[in-house]
This record gives sequence, structure tokens and C-alpha cells, in this order.
Amino acid sequence: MDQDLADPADNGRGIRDLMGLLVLPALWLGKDGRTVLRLMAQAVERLVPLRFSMVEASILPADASDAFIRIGGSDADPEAIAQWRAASAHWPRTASIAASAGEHTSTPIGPMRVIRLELGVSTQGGGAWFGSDAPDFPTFTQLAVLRAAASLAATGLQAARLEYERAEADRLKDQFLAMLGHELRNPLAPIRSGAALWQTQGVTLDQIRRTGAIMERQVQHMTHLVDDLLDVSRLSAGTVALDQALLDLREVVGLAVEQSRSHIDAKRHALLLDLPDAPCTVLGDSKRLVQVVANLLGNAVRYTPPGGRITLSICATATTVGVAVTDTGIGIEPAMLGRIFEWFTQVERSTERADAGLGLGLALARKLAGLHGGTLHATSRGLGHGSRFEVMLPKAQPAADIPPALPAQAAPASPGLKVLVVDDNQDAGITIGMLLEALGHTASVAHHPYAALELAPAFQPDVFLLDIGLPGIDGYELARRLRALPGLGPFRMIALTGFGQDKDQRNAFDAGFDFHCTKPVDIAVLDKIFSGIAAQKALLV
Amino acid sequence: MSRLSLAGTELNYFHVCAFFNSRDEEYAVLSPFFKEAVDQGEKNVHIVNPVHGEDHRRRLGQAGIDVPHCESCGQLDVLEWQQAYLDETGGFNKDKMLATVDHLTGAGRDAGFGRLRIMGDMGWVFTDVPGATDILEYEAEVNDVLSRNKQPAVCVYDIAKLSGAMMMDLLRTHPLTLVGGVVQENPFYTPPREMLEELRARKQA
Repeated sequence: MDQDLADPADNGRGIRDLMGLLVLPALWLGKDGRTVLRLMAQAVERLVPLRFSMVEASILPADASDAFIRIGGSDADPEAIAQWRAASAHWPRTASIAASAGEHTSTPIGPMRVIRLELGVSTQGGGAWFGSDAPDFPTFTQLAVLRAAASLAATGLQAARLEYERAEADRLKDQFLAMLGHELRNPLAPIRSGAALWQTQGVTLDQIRRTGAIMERQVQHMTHLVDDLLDVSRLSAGTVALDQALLDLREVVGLAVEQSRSHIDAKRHALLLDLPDAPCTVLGDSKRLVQVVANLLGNAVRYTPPGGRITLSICATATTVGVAVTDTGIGIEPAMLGRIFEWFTQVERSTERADAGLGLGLALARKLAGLHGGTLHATSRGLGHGSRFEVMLPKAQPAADIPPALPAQAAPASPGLKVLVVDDNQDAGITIGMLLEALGHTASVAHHPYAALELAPAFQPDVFLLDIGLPGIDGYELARRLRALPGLGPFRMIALTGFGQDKDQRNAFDAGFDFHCTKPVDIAVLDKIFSGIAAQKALLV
Repeated sequence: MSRLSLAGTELNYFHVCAFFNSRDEEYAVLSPFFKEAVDQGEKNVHIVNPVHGEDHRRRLGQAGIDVPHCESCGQLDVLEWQQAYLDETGGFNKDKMLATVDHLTGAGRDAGFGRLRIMGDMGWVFTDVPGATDILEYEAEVNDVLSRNKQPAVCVYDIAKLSGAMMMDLLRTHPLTLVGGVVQENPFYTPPREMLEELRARKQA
């Protein structure tokens, strides 16, 4: 190699060739990683007399290592590639190596002087082998050219990977937005039809009741979608706090089944429960674990043709206990098994679009299981063979003294309260006011916070029901001013808002609210709060 | 002396290899080069893919060139591949094409125009044209013709069609490159005699 350095003509050609290589990345714009590597291998053949080149790299980060080989200036066919991969299986892959003087490597085309160069700065990027039967291969200049080519190709490969990931994320986002539009429009249709029906002459009480129930279900469905979206945001930001207690998994399963029962029945699935007699204790957040099991159950319901069979069982190891949901549904292709827990990913379906969901359920379930120190895995023998999802959680010490759940007490009917509703959305304010009146309360509605401050002393409300996003001053500030307003009797304040994050709840309590409800509020929840307030008021009287 | 610029760069050599990713990019970069010729009373000869002839004229018009007027007064000749690179049998005859370029840029050059600017769409190289394998020898040898006659020519290549080896060879046969909209003197340029020797050696091998 020292002789190369002393040869000015060779040095000149080397610099010229290196300058030529620098144009190579212009070829790579918009090309995939495999093409980048192939173009590099083709280009260096014009600069260095090679007998073969072999590139081994993961074209995409998640892919297994792939290889392509050029022999004598042409791409090797699959048979030759297999032969070369077998022959090169024992070649070192952990570091850049250069052929030592006189050293040859056995290859399928005979003994060659071979060098290996890293594609990138670590062995994880893959490597490129270049071989020649020239006795002086590689000269100093040749080594410089090959190193430069490998380095440029590594950058091109990385750029191609990033471009693929960007395009894939873009595709998933577009697909998700399309799904979101579809999923939000679906429940809107019966709500609009119901509203139109109510405005027709001759509508019967029975029709109003039936459509009312339909609208209530659709609103619940939409609320569930929005809650899932907010959960994605919270889990991504790491702001989900678990309210942990010792739980019996059998009860978690029971609650999840209760939530999913109407969907299971609608598709005429047979649900088999395989639960042990003894408690299966875990430390967890009941609401979140029910959500995990309900999501798995919902997934099984969705991807199992009508009349299928879903089995829900509790399984345990020495240190873990978990729930397995097995179905006789459409199954999962092996290639999709690793991807179904990614956000917004759905198994492709042709006919079940109407019931597709947002593709969030499994990702949420896995994240929530992870938050509990657990795991969630899927197995399937392929399309048409059903699937099994298993969530496993760390086993907690059995607690003999877990207090039994208190039997639900029927909420006493709440005597009429005076409620001042403040909401700048006139429709929202008026309808909640009408609903409160229908429930036996006296409601007054203000659409501006300053109007509420004026109205309050004369109205003397027992309860303020305040929106948060208000004009002029927000609901928090209005709450503070109402607390400071002279001339008011005892009252309670409820925040009724679209802001549903944990920090929004804290802000509400800091501002003096007694309760925080997220829109759209379940009327049963609101009624329970009012009953409590009414009961306290009765004690004071 | 009138200007001779491409993509904002004054040209000191006369043979440019231009690589483009799309026709939009191609015309965004080359149209000012064509327009400069028209504005300075020079002649343009464009050798285009026959399927793009009308689109070529439309794009020149969009660049502010009065195509019908320039064609009628001889300031613009739009030739199809068969009228220049390819002979009557549909093949590429290197020596005949070199003679044509020599005639166009030398003795046969229309004296009414101050300069001749040639643009050649080289897409035919990637079809099954007989003789297309002689393209590198042609590209090497035409340097002497253009330098001697001091008339510029831009060879246009679609990057999507190039192999790595082809790009390296093309770079070695052009003293100027236009990549990513930027003209650069090409340090990789290999003197024609040396390049022709290597090409002959390759053929013998």
C-alpha cells in the first residue's frame, strides 16, 4: 500500500474516482434501500476491478437481513445467492476486515482476496464484501474508493429507511383519518334520523322512547371512540395514572363481559367462560383492566363471523396470572402478528368495514397491560384459524382480607334543586336545562359568564353547572368569582366540560369545583351527583 | 460576446451531462438556457423523443419562447430521434452521428445565428436500439467535436433509468455535469483518449 501512495498517477486517479463517487447519491433520490445498495455495487465495479460483491443488510429496520450478490458484473440469481450465503456463513461479520498479504478466502468462484466493510458506523447496519483475484487487491486507492462507496451507501440506505417510515406513517395517518370520519359518521346517522323523527307530526311516545334509546347508545359509542383517542394521547405522553388496588381477575372478567354482552349477543356468538373457583389476585386499576379485557373481547367479537365461539379463560404460571381470549374468527396472518399492536393498525378485511373500529383497541390494551407490569401477546395459526390473545399480569399475594365490594345502593330520588347552567353553546345549555327540568329540578340557563354572575344572587342556586371554555372568562375563573360573590347561600359546583385530561380535573378542583364531568355526561352519573347534593341539603335543613 | 449560461453558471466547456428526476425538473432547469439562446439571436436544435414532440413545444411556449415563430425563421429545430441519433434502419450509427454534429456545429452551421445550442434527450439509449452500446464511445468522442467548434450540447438523462455503472461511465465522458439543478465542472471527467482505451479493453475482455 505504501507503493500506491508513492504513485502520483494512481493517487490522481484515486482522487478523481472519489470525486466521481460523490455524484452517486443523486441517483438515490426516491429509491428504496435495496436499489441504493445495488447502484453502489454497480458503480464501484467501474472503479475497482472486482470479481464479486456481496451486500448483507436489513433493508428496513424490522426486516431480517437480506443479501444480494454481484458476480462478474451481473446480479446473481436466487440459486447462486443461496450458494454464496451458505459459503459465507462462517465469514466474520463483526468488524471491518481487509485481506492480509497473501491471504485468500474460499468462495464459490474460487479463492479470492476479500475485504469486508461496514455499512454505517456499527455492525447493525450490515456489511459489504468485495472480492478480487488480483494479487495486490485491495490497493490503498481501491480501499479508499470502496470505503467511500460503502459509507455513501450506508447513508443512502438510512435515508431510504427513514423515507419508508415517513411514507408508512403518512399512509397510516391518512387511513386513520378516513376511518375516524367513517366511525364518527356512522353513529351520527341514527341520531340525525331520530331528531328528524321527533320533529314530525304524529310521532308517538313509543317511537320517542325507542329512538331515544338508540340515540343514547350511539352517543355512548361516540364517547367511547373519543375516550380511546384521549387514551392514545395520555399513553403517548405517559400521563396515565393507575388507581391501583388488589383485584380479583374473575371480577374484572365479569365486568368486561357485562360491557360487551350486547355486542356478543348481536352477533349470536357463544361465549364460554372458564374461570377458577379460587380468587386470582392482581394489583391493578380495575377500570383499566376491565378496559383491557373488554378491548380483547371486542376484538374477538368484531373479527369472528356471526355465530362463532369465544372462550374467555383465566390462566396462571408460578408468578403471573392472566386472561386469555380465544375465538374462532378470521385469524391473523403471520406477517401481521407483529404489527397488530401498533397504533391505528387493523387486519385487512373486505366485508366487515362497517364494524372496523379505529384500530386502537389492541394497542391501548398492550400499553395498559405494560403499565401494570404485564404483557399482551397474540397467537394465530393463520387466516381462517381464529386467534388467541393472552394478557398476563404479575401475581399479587392473595389477600384474604380484600373487602368485599359494597352492594350497589339505589340512589334516592333527588328532590328538586335549583340549578344555574352556564354554557355558551346555546343548544347544549338549553337541552341540559330541559333535561334537568324533566328530572324535577328548576333550571336557569345563562350563555355568558357575566350574565351568570348577575343572575346568581337573585336565583340563589343550589348547584352551578358550568362549562369551562367560556367567552370573556373561563369556567375556572367564573367558579372563583362565584365563590367570592356575596349574597349566595350554600351551593355546589359541577364542571361540565369537553376537557377530560387528568390535569383538567385537577384544575377544576383547584378552582373550587366539587365535581368534574366530561361531556357528553351520562345522565345517570349526573343524577347520582344531584341525589347526593339533595341528600346533603336535606340534612342541613 | 453573448452569454452562455446554464442553471445560472457560465459554461467554460461545451459538453454537459444533465441528470433529471422528472420532466418538470428538466424544463425548469433547461428552459432558461433555451430562452437565453432565443433572446440572443442564437439557434436551438432539440432532439426529442417523438412521443414528447408536442409536449416539448408546449413547455417551450410556457417558458416564453414563441415556438411557431422560432421554427418558421429557423431559430428552433425540433428533431425526432429518427432524424438525428437513429438512422433509416432505426439503429444508432456512432460515426454518422459524430459527422452530423460536426456538420451542424461546424461547416454547416447557419451563419445567421451567433451560436448553436444542442439539447439531446438520450432516452433512446435505454431502448433496444441496435448500436446503442456505442453510446459511451460517442459521448467520449463528441467532446473533441464540440470543443473544436465551440458550440454547447446538453445530453439529458433520466436518473430513474440509470444503473450505477452507467452513471459512472457517463460522468467520465462529460466535462460538465448538471445534477440536482446545479452545474459543476466534473473532476471525474476522463480524457477521451484514456476513456476510449478503457472501453476498447472492456470490449476485448
